[in-house]
Amino acid sequence: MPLSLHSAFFICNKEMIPLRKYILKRLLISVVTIWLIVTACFFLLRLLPGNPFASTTLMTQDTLDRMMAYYGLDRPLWEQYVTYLKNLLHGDFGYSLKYAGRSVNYVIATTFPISAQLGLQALTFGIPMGLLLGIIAAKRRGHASDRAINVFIIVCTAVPTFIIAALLQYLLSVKLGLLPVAQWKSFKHTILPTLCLSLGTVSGYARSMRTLMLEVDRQDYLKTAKAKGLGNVRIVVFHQIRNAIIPMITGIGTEIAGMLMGSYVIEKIFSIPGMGAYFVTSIQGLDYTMVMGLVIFQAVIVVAANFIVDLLYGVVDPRIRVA
Amino acid sequence: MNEHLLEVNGLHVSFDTYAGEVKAVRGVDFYLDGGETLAIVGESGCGKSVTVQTIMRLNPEPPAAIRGGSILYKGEDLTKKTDKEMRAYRGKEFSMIFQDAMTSLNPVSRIGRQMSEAIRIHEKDVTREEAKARAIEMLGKVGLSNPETVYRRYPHTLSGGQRQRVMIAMALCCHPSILLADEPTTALDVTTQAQILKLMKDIQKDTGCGIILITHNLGVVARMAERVAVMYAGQIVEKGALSDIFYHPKHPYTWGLLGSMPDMQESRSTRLTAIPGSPPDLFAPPKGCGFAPRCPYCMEVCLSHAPGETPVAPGHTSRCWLLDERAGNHVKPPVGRDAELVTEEMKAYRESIAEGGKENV
Amino acid sequence: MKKLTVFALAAALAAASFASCGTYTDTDSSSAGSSSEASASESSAESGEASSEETSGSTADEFTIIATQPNTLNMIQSTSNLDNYAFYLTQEMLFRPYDGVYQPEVVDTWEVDDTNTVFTYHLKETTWSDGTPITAEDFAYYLTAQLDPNNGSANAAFLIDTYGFLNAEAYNNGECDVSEVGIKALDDYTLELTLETPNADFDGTNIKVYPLDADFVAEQGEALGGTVDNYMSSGPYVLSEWVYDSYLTYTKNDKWLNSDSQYPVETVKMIQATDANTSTSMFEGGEADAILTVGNDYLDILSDYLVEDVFSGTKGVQFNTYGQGDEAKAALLSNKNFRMAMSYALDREAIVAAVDRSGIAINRYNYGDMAGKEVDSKFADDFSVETVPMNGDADKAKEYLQAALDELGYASVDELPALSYLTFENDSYRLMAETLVDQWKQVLGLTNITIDLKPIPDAIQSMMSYQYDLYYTSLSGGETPSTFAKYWITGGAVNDVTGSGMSLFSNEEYDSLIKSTSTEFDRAKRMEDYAKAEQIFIDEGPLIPIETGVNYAAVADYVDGFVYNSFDDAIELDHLSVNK
Repeated sequence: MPLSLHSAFFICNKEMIPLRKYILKRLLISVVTIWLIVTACFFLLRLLPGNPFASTTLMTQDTLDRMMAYYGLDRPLWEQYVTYLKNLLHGDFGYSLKYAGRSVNYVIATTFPISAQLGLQALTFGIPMGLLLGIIAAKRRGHASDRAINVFIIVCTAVPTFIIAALLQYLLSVKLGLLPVAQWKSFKHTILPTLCLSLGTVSGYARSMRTLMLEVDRQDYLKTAKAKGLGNVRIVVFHQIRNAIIPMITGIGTEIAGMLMGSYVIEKIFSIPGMGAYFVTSIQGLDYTMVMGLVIFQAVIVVAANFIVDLLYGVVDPRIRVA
Repeated sequence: MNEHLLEVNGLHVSFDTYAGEVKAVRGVDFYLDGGETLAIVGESGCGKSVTVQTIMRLNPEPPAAIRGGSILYKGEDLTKKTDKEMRAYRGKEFSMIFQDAMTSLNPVSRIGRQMSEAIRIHEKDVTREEAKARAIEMLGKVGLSNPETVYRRYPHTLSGGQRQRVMIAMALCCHPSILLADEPTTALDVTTQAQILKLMKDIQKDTGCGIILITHNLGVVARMAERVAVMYAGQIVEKGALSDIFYHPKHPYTWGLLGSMPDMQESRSTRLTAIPGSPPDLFAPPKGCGFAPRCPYCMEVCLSHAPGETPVAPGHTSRCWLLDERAGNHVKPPVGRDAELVTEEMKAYRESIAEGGKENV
Repeated sequence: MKKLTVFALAAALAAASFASCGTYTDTDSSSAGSSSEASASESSAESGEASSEETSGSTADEFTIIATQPNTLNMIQSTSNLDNYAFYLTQEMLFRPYDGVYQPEVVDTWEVDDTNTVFTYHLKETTWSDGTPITAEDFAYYLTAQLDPNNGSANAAFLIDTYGFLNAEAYNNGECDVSEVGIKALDDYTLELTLETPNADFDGTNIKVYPLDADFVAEQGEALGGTVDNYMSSGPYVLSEWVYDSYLTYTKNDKWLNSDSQYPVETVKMIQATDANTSTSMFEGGEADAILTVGNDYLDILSDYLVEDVFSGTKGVQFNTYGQGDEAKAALLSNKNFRMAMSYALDREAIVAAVDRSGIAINRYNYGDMAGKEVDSKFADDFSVETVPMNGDADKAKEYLQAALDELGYASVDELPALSYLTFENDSYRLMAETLVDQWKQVLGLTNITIDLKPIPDAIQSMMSYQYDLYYTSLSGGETPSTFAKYWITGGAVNDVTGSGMSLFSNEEYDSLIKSTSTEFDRAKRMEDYAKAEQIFIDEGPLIPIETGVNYAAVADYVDGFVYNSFDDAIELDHLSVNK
């Protein structure tokens, strides 16, 4: 049965009451986790030296004071905290301090889909590709293809993304004119950034999968499968891969969450209006509201991703089912 | 002469490793007929698993390589078959049962799925429901209560004995002619051991299949086998009927094996007789008899020339220079224990088991 | 097998959905520029024919430039000149500067009274892009909103210092009501500006005033100027699209006053390219007609297309004459010979050429396009000053150093107290710091200077609390010499940065010269006074000028009339045409 239907039936089943309890418990813990993150972030930010309005242009202390007052930053800290929480419960992240009139919600709502699309495309291409390369490398261990894949992995890991991206951009877009140079205007525009972003994933998964496949290679149940008369392909696909992939699932949650947040480097090189830039500039500029909004948003996604992965783990590996 | 079901002639198997060529099997001959059990005994590393796995061509061909000999199954030479052709035989004509059922079953796949897989790969026109029914039936036959439940379970939720039964069931799904069992009870406790062995015997009676049983436990041999082959350093040093081997052993290694059995009736203070020394290095097998360095009866010729198989009685052969007429008749009793005494004890054992007495094999 | 097919189907579905309904920012507009909302329906009906013409032949109706986006369109909070580029293109102005000269736009006629403090402007009838009339009150509100203490605008200080409107400061301090400020709409079409004291630098035209609708501001609240929907246009173009960090689209506004005679281009697209390499690639590939600021590394590649514009600010090494409370340091840093030594030791031209290609070496404070005795003469041509040569003078530097050592009683440079050089943590500032310190070491043998790198907010905080010995400062200039000069009067904005009375430099003659300029209405005489003040500051001021910024824009051959003027803070497309 397809995996998703499988899990759906799973949870609705009466026998799965312990599972429901587990889910409830995890949800509660997730909420508490996020609240802790909000609080820690809020106070830590205020501890950073400097203030959001400092810029290279001169400003008198009076002006500075008035700006702080306008944004409510002169009120006692706990009062600001409570106000922030109240707004948060309404889903209101407030307005940026750096960019007047820019609401954090709007920024997230417009940039997240773009970063998410880029990230998801990179993942849907990168993970299967990486797994495939890892499997090939493992199965053809010692041969030319294994060595070639290993070289590829090393290059992707050692060479920084922006170098590879700049090179590919120059080669494919400027010199050969095959793909657009930059911006995010159509599907064609997404091909090069997706490719560059996925290289890290491809090489990472290829390397892990290769190692895991080789470990599983020595397992006895593969001998049993062969003894039953199964063909090589079937053995690899249904017995070897299924087992090798299990340890990889743990990392997938955080990886997906990270990818969805966009990549500062890729977005900068290809002029993609994603979330990446905001993460970097908002911290540098001490834009409190923007930082808080982005951090909370990311926290929610990471927590959710990990939660889903933990559940998935139980579906995929029956030895770890919630009993 | 009638064609044997399985006939292995002069089999040589080597492994090409980074360190060199390991000659694991150096000229092995034996046969098996339907309805009988052949036990292959020997210590670790003597080549018994390799021999049996080579029958099924289970070892990946690099690094393994068949350097010579033939394996005739119903007249066909299996050594000449490609891997693809062998798939038709594996699981269908002969099946294998492994030692550790926990690691030999896919941990993330349900039992039933693994069994149906075995059926449907060989019988393409069997539907899913039919395969399921047959699998459940087989699970019942191997003595599992609630076979429908077991069908849906995962290996880690079953006990050791149950898992081994499942392995047997899986091996029997397609009604093979030969069952190859590689130490099937070594990992089990004594009581379960007895049950599994009885199960195997019953199945043999039922289906008339032949069993090749690898073990290093002479008690199991006594219980199960009609014929025995003793292997050492990649060769069969002695083979014959069960009574031949147990009552009239003619090879010093066999004497040592029998002598190193613990005796339930003797007082505990008697120490076990071990055979001093260790098996030879198979990277550079010795020119002479493989056992010579450890043999208490070693003669000069033993070190320089490998003995051939000398017939002792019909169906009983031994590889030992002591049997050559030129060796004279100066066979001394085995070190440590009296050969006659040993054979007396074995007889007593056999009788007690035949009576269905205490299951303390 | 089943699982595999399901997986394959899912993958195919995902790919298809990405391709069709992705999150793409809008593709280039295909229709002929839809001039205003009212005629939108018309143009879309016509666009069928029009667009086919457009896409086939020349695209002379569209101008694409790569420039950094505005931070915000909130006029009250806006502090960045980037925002001003947008305002310039999308708002009416009382007077519109073009290449440094202010032309009347909304103002029909105006008068000044005898005291030179009351300016009365008579306005033409104009409307917002949606047809609502613009009144004098809108222009007044634009100014008073920035002075309103409740709005916390950082622009208040600029308005107060530069123009000195009546009661502006008092109002900003919360001491009086807005009705008492010298910015009033006498009726719908009459605006009156009153200054506290006559200001010779202000002739009534050189002020940038845009209209701002008070009701709209109240409605929008915090969202003002955040997106296109929170912004009202009235000028040559309507801001029709703004995708953050991606692009802005300006479409020609037929309702604008001079739409027939100026701004021929129908659609202007301003693309955000955050990477210099990408911008250059896009320009070379024809995806953009101009780049506003070309990255340093690409100046050579695009050398055929460069248009230069020199800023009017000053970057240099500022001396903390208080020495952080240490007497020895204070004495050293206040010593003229020491400062001269430091200045003469630097070969500015070489340094700037090597370290900062986006800069030009300077050795005085009024240069470049700064106007002199006449509106169209150059200050630097009209008035020369005695100052350090551009390439420095190593021998003279050593002389000065020796003189300083003798004066202060040090036997050698090794006895000098340690000095810290505070600067920002980013690459260009760091590089400059290392180069300067190295030069001082090479020429003067100074080993007592350590570089103190800090992130920008921290560095500014340190500077404002006088926790530095040397500080690499970046001061913006103005359209007239007065902006920079006023920084350095006793109590001036840079001189006494916290307003607490601790001025780094205090010179009576300087102060009185600057004071007199505000009432010297003879332009030539006024400029002379500035020149004298400049000389004093060069000699006595706690600053060594090093460089000023220069902007290199890249403009394609087929574009005519491209003007970028940093004095005006505007990309001036008034007479730009694209002839592909």
